[in-house]
Amino acid sequence: MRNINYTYMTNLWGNINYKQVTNFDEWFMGDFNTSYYYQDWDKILRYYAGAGFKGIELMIFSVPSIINAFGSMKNFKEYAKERGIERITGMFSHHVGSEDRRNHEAIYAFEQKAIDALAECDGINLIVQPAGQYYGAGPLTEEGLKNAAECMNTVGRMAAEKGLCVSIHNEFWCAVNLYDHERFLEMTDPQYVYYCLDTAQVAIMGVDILKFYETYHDRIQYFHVKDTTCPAAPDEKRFGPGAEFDPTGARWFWEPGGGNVDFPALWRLMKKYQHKGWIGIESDGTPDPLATILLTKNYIDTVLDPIYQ
Amino acid sequence: MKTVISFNTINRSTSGPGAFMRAAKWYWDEVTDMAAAAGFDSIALSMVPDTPNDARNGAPVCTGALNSQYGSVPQYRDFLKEHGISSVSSMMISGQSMMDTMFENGTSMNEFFQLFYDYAKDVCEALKTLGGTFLIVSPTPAIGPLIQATGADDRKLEQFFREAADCVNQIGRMSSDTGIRTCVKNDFWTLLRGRNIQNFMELTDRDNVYFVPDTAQIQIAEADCCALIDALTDRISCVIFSDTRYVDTTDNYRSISPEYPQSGPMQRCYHDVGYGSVDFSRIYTRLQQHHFDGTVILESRYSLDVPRAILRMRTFWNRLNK
Repeated sequence: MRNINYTYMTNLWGNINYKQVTNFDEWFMGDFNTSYYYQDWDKILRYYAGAGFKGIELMIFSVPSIINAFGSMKNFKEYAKERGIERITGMFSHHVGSEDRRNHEAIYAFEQKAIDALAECDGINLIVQPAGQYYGAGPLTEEGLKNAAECMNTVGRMAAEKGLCVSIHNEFWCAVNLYDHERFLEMTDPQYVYYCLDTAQVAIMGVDILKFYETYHDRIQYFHVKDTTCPAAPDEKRFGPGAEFDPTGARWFWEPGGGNVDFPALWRLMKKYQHKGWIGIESDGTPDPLATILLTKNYIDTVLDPIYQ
Repeated sequence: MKTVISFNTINRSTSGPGAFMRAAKWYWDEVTDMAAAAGFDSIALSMVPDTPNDARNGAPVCTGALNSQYGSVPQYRDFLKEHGISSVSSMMISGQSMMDTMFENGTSMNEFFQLFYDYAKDVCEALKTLGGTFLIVSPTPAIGPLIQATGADDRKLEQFFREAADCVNQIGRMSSDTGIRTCVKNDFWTLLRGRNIQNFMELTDRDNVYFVPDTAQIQIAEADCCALIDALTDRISCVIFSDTRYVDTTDNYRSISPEYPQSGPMQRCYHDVGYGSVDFSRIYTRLQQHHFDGTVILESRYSLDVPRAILRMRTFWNRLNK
């Protein structure tokens, strides 16, 4: 019996627009490339299941096209189950502008849609970027930070009404950043707001993720597992415009084992604290999703599972 | 005729290896170089409303992104010139982009037309700085989402249609003041279908609002491109050459994501220019008969192979001109 299972965020594929594409020739003839294999949920769900992943996470931006393709989130859940995906565990969303209370009503309206969609597919966790990018918004004032926390708490309560959790997902380029992210976490209500530790994002921000997990393991109930070769990136790299997408094309994120994050040590800590639940994998920015998915599964099987599963 | 290459050749909303990289500046810088290498010196950009989230994008998709990635709109112009592109001929805005942004911002549809005008004004100012000529406007959201928002009530849709024409007239007056031509573009999934393309144009101001035929969109919407050229010839100074094999046999145009048909024998809406079933020889001849001497935007919309599509468009045009 496993204590942890793995779920995979689907954003590494981009925007998946189709339920099922069936006519190979329509996509192949004349262009002679592999596009046919990457257009639809049917195949992508089967790639995950084929690689041994039992859960997936979604982006809020995918909801309209999923509803278009499947009719409802519930139908999508059933379709995924038929292909071996047992649970749609989470959905990513964001609170751009949360430092300004005037934006809160619009954020709540937007998040209600996310919560409803996630609840409809029997999800667990709404994963939330707490504010917009640092460039143009950071550093937040004390009042701004307080407003962002209030926004998160309110969305946490909204989610709880539907039986869901909300968790903070702190990007390295977010207006909430190295110098205030712990204060932000402590401003949020532990009853309604958890933490999703994105191992690469937080390491790039300059945080020792092992110490961070030691300190906040009660709050850290969710993960985005990914690696990086750029821990503790300098402020000017993190605070620049569009820092998430390096202007030279350099890669921030790698599959676990591809960078410097000490995952074995983190897994030993998870074992120490007997963490239970779904562990999310995120591989945004990979140029080859299938290769990354398979490398990740191999790393889990050969490195992480022997420590704690 | 002068040719321009459309950056709608790149699908920012697709899936597969490398899809994520289309949010990075280097990708678009390289596409710019490729366009120049293929002999194009002018580009057409598709713009979304300026939001903090889109402004962090490396793609030149909103004024905020131009400002944050290149320093300012004039600096983007300078960048393009250094890379062999002398102007941004046109920028395209759409009612669907407006609605998508409103969904993300939790904004009421009651504010649609005011926000759409603001979006047009913002883009028009940037276009002027970039040496452009045409503000291309797809004036309504897709029918499917619109019905979701307003209900399946024909009177409400007719009212939206008229209000969209009023809004385009305002945009036309605003753009004329800056020397930019507002051109209406039909997309097959919008309220501008069939006879309604001309009906819409009849509601717009002849002095300030022009028409830009988009060949693939017109064919999918089951209208006759040459007949439209005949009917609106004095209001056409720009044409979009795009290609398709798609035939809508399932009323897909009414769906929520019509560019991605979920059912029916065909699911791919667009092909690279010259690889679909649009009769470009006929359209080109008809334009010549009307002594058309304007701009032709080549758009291999949502190509599956962007570098190849850029070269294909040059080849296509060379052959068409023989």
